Amino acid sequence: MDIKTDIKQTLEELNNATGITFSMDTDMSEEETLEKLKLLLNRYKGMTNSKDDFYIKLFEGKLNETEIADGTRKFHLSDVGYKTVFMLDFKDTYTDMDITIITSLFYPSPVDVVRVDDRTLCVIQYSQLKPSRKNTESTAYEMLDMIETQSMNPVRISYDEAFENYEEAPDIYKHLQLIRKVGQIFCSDKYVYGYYQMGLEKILYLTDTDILTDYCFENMPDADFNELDTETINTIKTFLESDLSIAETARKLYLHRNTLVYRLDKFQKDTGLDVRKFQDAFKCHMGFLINKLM
Amino acid sequence: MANITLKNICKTYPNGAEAVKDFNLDIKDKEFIIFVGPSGCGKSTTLRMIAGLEDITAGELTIDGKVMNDVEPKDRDIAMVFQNYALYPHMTVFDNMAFALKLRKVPADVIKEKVEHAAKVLNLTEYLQRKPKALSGGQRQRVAMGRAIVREPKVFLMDEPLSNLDAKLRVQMRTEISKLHDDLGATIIYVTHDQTEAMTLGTRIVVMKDGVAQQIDTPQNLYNKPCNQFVAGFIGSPQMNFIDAVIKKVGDKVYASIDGGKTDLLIPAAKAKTLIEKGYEGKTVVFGIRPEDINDSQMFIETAQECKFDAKINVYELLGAEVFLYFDYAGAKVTARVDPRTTARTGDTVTFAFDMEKSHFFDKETEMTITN
Repeated sequence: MDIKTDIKQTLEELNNATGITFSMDTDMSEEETLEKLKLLLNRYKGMTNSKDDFYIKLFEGKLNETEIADGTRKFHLSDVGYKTVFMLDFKDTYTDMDITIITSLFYPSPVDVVRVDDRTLCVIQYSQLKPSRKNTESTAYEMLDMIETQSMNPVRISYDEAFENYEEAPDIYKHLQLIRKVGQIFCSDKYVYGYYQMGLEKILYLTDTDILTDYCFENMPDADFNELDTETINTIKTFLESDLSIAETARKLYLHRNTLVYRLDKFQKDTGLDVRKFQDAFKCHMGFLINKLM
Repeated sequence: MANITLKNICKTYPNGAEAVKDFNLDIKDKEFIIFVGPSGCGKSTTLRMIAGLEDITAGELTIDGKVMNDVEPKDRDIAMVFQNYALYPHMTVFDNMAFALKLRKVPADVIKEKVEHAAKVLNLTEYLQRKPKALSGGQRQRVAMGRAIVREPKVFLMDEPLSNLDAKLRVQMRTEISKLHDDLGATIIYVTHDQTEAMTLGTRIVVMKDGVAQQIDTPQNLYNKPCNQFVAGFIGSPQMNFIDAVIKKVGDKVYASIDGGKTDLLIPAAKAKTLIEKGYEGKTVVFGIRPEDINDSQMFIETAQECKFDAKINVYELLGAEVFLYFDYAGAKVTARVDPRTTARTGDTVTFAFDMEKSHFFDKETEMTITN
């Protein structure tokens, strides 16, 4: 191989590794150029050849089976048992204090904290037994409360089911990326999002907006959810969350039963939806969600 | 010193949901302020805006005169306690309380002094070397509070700190938090949905609904002079009874006519005057009466002949020191709290009398008080 081909190949490799397109404009000799390029490439590889880099590439689906096996061996990652990934999105940059708080909370259980970017951390919790959904949710809330009370750094946490094989990691990561977007749209007043908790919201997020607009027009032509006041919204939402029970809703809202019935009647008059009937209640629920999305 | 002012504070989420609307409050140094209200009323959001964990959409938050809207949470000199009192499982009580100070590079001797002081205040001294798993739920919650105390903040923010404890422990911790407030002399803002907690702990209570502060007042005033039907129903357990009534004037006397005119209740002079002056004669209003202001004692009934009625008891509930009698009256479900020596039982028709001096009247449309 002549030196020109060698330079060309090294440059291509550097471009591929960094994702940046470099071009050359130099007075250096070809030998010197090749040496500098190789040094740059090796430095970059060395810099990114960390556990964080392995995990990020794994999450992004950039590793094949062999590379995954090599990585788990190199970084002494357990191949048996379950892994749960929590994605932590900080409002501002996270600090070393946040990472110390997380690792201390899990200690002595094994855990890895991956710096995805300056505002996102992924916490990988290892366990022999598959944690229940309830336990995973409770772990997420413990992390949230600990970070918010100890370092006072606002954060939102997304999580999914635990997985066994590292090959499943890219799918889990996609789930987390999806659910954090869905959570922030539909549940912006919540701080912890479980992938399996927002089924309908996920479907709506992934549905074409024209289809959603048509659905509203066809099923709720008289309903304008933007025009509703907070009191009406809270009343109807509580009624839907209370399995359409007037007694339970009145109790939760500290309302007289007759006042609640009056509000439901008024809502029906304004929107054409009688939420006491399941079909209309479902349409109304869809309407609230679509309104948030659009 | 920690005087906190919230001026026209609003919170609107990116999806357009309005969580808090035009919230105004002046909190004086060393006050124990309670935010109370049903789920989704905006109380936690308001607390989180004070902490800096949520952005303020509009309005101004000041602590000791300094605008805090854009100050980082960690620089606001406040400490928070949440309901999920997560502790570091491998650390002792001492280390759990000391951890945040260690991370902030506070000298070891200062940490020791602060932790020992907090442990003394919280009666945790003998548990300092224990690990969390060897503590009860109440003790763990106290450690969580200890972590806040060692930071010696200007303001303590507590978001439903007792809701993970069982009922008995909650009552015990309530007393301890009250004592803690006296001992620390700190400003505390406390969020709860439990009106008993609110009434027993707060120097002032903010009752919230749909993102709006309904009434800000002392526990006694909230109970005796609710500003609207919501506050009247929210504060007090069992809640206030509400019955539709038409205001009727006969000669010098003013009556609340109930049940289609079957019963006319004589309204005391001062309340009657207000009702007439405000133009409610002939109009339907909501008559409110607390369960303890419905009497079944013969002595009371004899003195209140123009406020008595008969009702058939649906449910008799003995709670030891008191009895709740449930019955239907004038289309409403009514609860009376009576003396446990009552002879009334389920199925009996009993004569009751309202203590009209304690009656409340609310506008049927606006639900605002007319007579308080």
